Amino acid sequence: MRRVAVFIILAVSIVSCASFQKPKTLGEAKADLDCIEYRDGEEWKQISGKFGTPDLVPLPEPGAGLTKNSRAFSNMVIFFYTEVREVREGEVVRFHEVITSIDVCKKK
Amino acid sequence: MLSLDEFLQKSGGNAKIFNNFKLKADKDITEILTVCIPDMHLLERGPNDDFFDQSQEYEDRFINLLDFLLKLRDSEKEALEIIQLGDMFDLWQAKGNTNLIVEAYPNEIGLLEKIKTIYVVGNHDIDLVKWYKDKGETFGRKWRHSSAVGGKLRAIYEHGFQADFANNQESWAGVIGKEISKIVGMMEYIEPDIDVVLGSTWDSIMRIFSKYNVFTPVKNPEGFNFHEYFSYYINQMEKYNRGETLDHFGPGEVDLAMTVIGHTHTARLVQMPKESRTFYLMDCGSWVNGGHEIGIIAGKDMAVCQWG
Repeated sequence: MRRVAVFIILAVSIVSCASFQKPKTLGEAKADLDCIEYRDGEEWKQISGKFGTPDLVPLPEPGAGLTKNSRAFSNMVIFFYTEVREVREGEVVRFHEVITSIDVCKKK
Repeated sequence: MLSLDEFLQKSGGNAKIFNNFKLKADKDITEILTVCIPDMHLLERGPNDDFFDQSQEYEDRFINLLDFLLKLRDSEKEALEIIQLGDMFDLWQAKGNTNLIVEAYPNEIGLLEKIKTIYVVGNHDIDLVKWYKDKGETFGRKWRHSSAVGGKLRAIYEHGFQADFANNQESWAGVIGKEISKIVGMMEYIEPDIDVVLGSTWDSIMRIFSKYNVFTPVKNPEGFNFHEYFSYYINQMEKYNRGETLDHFGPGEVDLAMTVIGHTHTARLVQMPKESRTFYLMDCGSWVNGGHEIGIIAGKDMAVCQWG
């Protein structure tokens, strides 16, 4: 009986605490982050100027040439912006969730 | 306006009158065909998602209804009103907010938008009107919707928790009710049908109290029986009709006879004559745990139907 009572008290406390937390807005989530919105054709210098030297600088893949590279930063936060978009599947209208843009962010 | 019979015919046999819940009012209740979609409780498709309820058939049936309503919107244009009666999302049990529920149900949410659904807020998605209360953002949710005939208000549409002792979030009992729901939600990870089992047990207990009239509240002598909502809404409609309301309607603009709700997940259609007038209460049922009801009002005709 005591165990049941303890479980109920714990369960009530846990769910009560959870319900006090208001979900973060996008603005609040980005408040302590430095972000760059992904755009094709963006100058690399904009990225390195903001985030510094990359943590990973892999060799180019064979056949790609030396001018096509990839660079990676660890401990980054990525925001995918999504929206529900209408598509026609034969006779019927359906909706898919698609990515509309990306923000790459680092802690300030 | 498409009549109830024409609606049933157009549905190709998908819409069937449920439990003989069909009535004809003495005067028109709506000027256009009105379709009401009750509680859906969308979650992230986990074990406690009572809309999906581990059954693809339930989701397919709902999508089939929305496909039909999209065609109906195309043919009827503005002569059709579609109202979702609240608890579309179950934010009491959601992992965070609506974000991952949209990921789980893009078709349902996209189609409801496309058919120009009017959304009423329920107790399980009331956070939608609370998150940005200070900025006035309600994500298109209304506390209550109404329809008029000849410029006079004839029907109101709200979720139904407002009349509910254990679910009104403005009362202490409602706050406790919310916490109990969350605990039951956690228990559903162990036993998915625990909510149904506990719900039936609660109803059995309340039936005994109702029979012996043990908990009768002074303010609401009909409380704790299945007509608790009816007396609450008759009082509300009478008050509106007398002009005793803080809303902007005067007595000349109101001739309320019907209230349409969801919330209880138990479909009902009842009428009550009172002082030379007949009042109607329609509870449209639900789309959870296999429920598949909708409410239809067309002129004088009203019915609760099951789809599919």
